Amino acid sequence: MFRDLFLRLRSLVRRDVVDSELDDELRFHLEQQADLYMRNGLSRAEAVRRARIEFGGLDEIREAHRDARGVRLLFDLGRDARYAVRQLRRSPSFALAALLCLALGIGATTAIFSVVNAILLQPLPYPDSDRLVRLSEYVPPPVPGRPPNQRAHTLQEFLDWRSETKTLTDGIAMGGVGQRLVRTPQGVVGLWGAVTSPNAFKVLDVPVLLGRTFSEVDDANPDVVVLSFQTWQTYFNSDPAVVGRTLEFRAGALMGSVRPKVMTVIGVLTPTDMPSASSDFYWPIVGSLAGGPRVSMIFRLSPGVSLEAAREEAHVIGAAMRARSPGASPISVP
Amino acid sequence: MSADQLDLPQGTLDLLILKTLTLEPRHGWAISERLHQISSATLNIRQGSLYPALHRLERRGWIKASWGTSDNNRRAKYYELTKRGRARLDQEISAWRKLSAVVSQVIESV
Repeated sequence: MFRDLFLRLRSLVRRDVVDSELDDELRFHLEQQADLYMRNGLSRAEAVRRARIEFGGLDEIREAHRDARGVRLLFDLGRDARYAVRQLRRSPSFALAALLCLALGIGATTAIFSVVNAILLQPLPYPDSDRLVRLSEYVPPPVPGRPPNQRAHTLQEFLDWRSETKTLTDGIAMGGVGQRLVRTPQGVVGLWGAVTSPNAFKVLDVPVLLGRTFSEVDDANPDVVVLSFQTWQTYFNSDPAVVGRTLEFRAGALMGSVRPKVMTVIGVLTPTDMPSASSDFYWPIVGSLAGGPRVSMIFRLSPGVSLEAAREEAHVIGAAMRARSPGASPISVP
Repeated sequence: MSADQLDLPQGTLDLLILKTLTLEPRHGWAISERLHQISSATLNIRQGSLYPALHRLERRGWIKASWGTSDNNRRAKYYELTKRGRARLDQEISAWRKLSAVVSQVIESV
């Protein structure tokens, strides 16, 4: 129920993002189909042409997709209004976060470097959550008039920001590692994982149910994993003895030739999860700067510092970084 | 499209999509390839039906989507079956079995 409300709100508030995600999804489909034709012997140009023709009009699909989002929206409006009011009354910070999101969303279309109030729409269970910010860089859209793209950051960039900023503290980096196959008491299952800087759980004060989260000792032996509550409950039968056991994480066929990793379970979280909420397990980010996963960055405003001041500093530091390495990692995520 | 390709009855597409996700999460293209393959090339799902259907199923909470990396290192949106989706699939399959049995019974009768 909450998920449905969230998706629908997101559709409304972040229409640009939702549309551009759809575009990415459709473009991916087109490329896969063209690859198939190339494997069957067509030239690149011919393969792309055939895939396009079969695909039909992009606009047509977008329209159909909006209908799928829209019709139910009207249909359910009465029910949602009541639900929303209840929710808002129970947690006033929800309303506040939603407002901030709107205001900043408009501002962001012109900003190059921007500090946005973290993890919008959801009331955060973390201490001082109204001081948490997400730092991200917006780059001009490839096509004028489209919303700007958000760039994904390397771990090195995160370390640079952390050492240069004076207005922000408690920097955390988080990134996704995709899906891994793991043997569990429930058979082999596909689990989605994230990497976080070792301080993340402590900074956000994410409670642990069993064992512990990451600490300095893991720098020497980084092959450790923390499981989410749901993973533990669903696939490990809520067995407390899972802590200390080793698990092998294999990359599925979809990931190509990534070497399997053997990790020791050091802890299990409570249902209060990390901001990326839907991860099934967490690894600590270690050394590998080059070729490591792209990360997003969360900071806390230093005591007495306003969001405005942090944003101003972000523009200065960001511009200087750009000047040092103008073409740095032009990988963008919408 | 060749003559022996079929139009799907209303609502059947949802059932087929859920079915392709029982083993592992897949992206949209893999779902349509899988349907094409297991139907011996009889089913060709148009993208104009596939993606709206996927997003509808997501909204109903029967599947959930997340971005991942495809085998050729592209960013792709993967869909996986939720617990509710699994339950729904079971319902849909038994409803379909009943319906098709009844329809056959009627057309076989004289």
